[in-house]
Amino acid sequence: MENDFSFIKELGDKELLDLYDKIVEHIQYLKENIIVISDGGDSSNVSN
Amino acid sequence: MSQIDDFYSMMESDKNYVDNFVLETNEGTKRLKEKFHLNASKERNSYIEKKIIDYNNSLEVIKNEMKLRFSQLMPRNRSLEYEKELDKIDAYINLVKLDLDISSSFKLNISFVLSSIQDDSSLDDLNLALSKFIDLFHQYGISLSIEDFKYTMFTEEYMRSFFSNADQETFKKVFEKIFFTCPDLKMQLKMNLIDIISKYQKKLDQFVSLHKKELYEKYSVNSSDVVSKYISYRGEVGQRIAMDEYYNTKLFLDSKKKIEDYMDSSPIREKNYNLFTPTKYSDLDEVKKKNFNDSIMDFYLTLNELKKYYRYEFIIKDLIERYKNKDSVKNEFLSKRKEIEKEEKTRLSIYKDYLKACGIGLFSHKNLNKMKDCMLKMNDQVKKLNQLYSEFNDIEITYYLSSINNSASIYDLFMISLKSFPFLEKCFLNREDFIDESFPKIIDEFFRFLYNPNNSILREINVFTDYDLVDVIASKYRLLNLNVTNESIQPETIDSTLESLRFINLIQNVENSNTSFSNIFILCRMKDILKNEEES
Repeated sequence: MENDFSFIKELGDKELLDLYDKIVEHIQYLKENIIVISDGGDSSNVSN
Repeated sequence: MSQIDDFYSMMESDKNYVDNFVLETNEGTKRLKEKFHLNASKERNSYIEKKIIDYNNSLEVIKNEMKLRFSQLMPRNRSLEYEKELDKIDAYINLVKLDLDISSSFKLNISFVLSSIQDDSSLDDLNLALSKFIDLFHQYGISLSIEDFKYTMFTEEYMRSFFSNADQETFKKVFEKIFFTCPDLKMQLKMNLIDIISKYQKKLDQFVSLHKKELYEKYSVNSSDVVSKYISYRGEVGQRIAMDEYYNTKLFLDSKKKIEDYMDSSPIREKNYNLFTPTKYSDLDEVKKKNFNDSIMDFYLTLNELKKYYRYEFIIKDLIERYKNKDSVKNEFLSKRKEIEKEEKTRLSIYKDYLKACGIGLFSHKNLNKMKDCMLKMNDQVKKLNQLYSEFNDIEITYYLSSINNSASIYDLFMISLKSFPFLEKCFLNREDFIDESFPKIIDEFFRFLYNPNNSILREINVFTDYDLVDVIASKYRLLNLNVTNESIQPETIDSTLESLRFINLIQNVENSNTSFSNIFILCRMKDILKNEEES
């Protein structure tokens, strides 16, 4: 992904900050969707 | 579609993929259903975990870019340049002092050494003051010796020990021995120093004159332009520092101010502006906004001046009272001076008698009783002289008030106060609000207050008319369409008004400089992001 990410050089400072915030928000969303799987094979969503 | 849009689309696709990932099946047994869910969960988790790693990598790339941009966006720190300029300002104020009609001992800082000897000074303080006094005279080309310390038999004895570089224990013993016959030794030594200043007055004046000539040549100033040059230089440097992008940005980066409060949309910003406008600031047209901004800057400077004036107002009140008696004091001042001269002669003759009683001189014989008698007489005489000097110092300032008339400004009266060092000493050393600062620092601040480039009311307002300074100022700015009440600039309320004005002043300084609040906002956000990274 790093190679494809060179476009950030062209972004304005504000756009760069917005992109950062959106990625952080997206990572948070992804983390909340990880399903915790117990040793016995039971699973539950992290956000629950 | 731009690359950033592609990137956002990719994030949206991730979200859709995760949201729509099939985790359950209706087919098969309960066990098969559970197995399906477990495998699906593992598969989705694996996708998410990979994505999180990718996005975290992206964040790292962004942070590196931010680091680079932060250092490019951050204004240059000009502290070292300012330090040099501030040193130059300090040098200039000394040039101004050298031109004032004040005593040479004041100009050469000798008076401060005298004032450091107080009733509560310790033996160490006393010896330190004596050393400083001797060193200063040495700097000015005058080598003091024991011959200069024969004000009384006690000062002579003490100073013999001082000049012999006696160790602390010996010193203490000498002090104790003298103290029992002369409990006022500290006072006598202080009066000895006053006597030395008077004895070398001409030499000190010559030194000041020569020193002034050299410095004035070095800085290319003369008596007629030194004040204006100082004021304009200090004003120019002060304004540059107030508008300095680095300092103003640091205020926000170091969390001394909150950037959100200063942004255009901030309710706090709006509230501070509205405080000084008859209607809402946002309702003003562009011309009125410009007028408001000019007036508010002027008002801010005036209130700073007023606030400092409040700090020194007690001097003016005292001098106004003294001015009423200035004519009656003239004769008293001259006769007191003569009386001091006469009593100093008496002191000298007591000293001579003492020397004779010691058996010093032709045909003299040692006479213990006479010696003791002279010592007692000397103590009484110096006490009397001390009292006379104190009375003289008290009327001296009133005497100087004869040089001004009823048209004098507040500034003129402040300038008169500088003519009497003992008056300044009495003014400041007895006040609780100055107790935490050293006397030289207090006087230095007082000088800087008097020569502040923004002082206007002090120079313009007559000190003897029955004026109400607060009313004059409030009326002036009401005429300029500012919402100012007399109550808002009283000694008790001025701080809060100044706080709001300081807020607006910072906005003006930033907006008139090469940076902007948007830039500062970006720097603050980047700093927070990079700081969190360092902490994690």
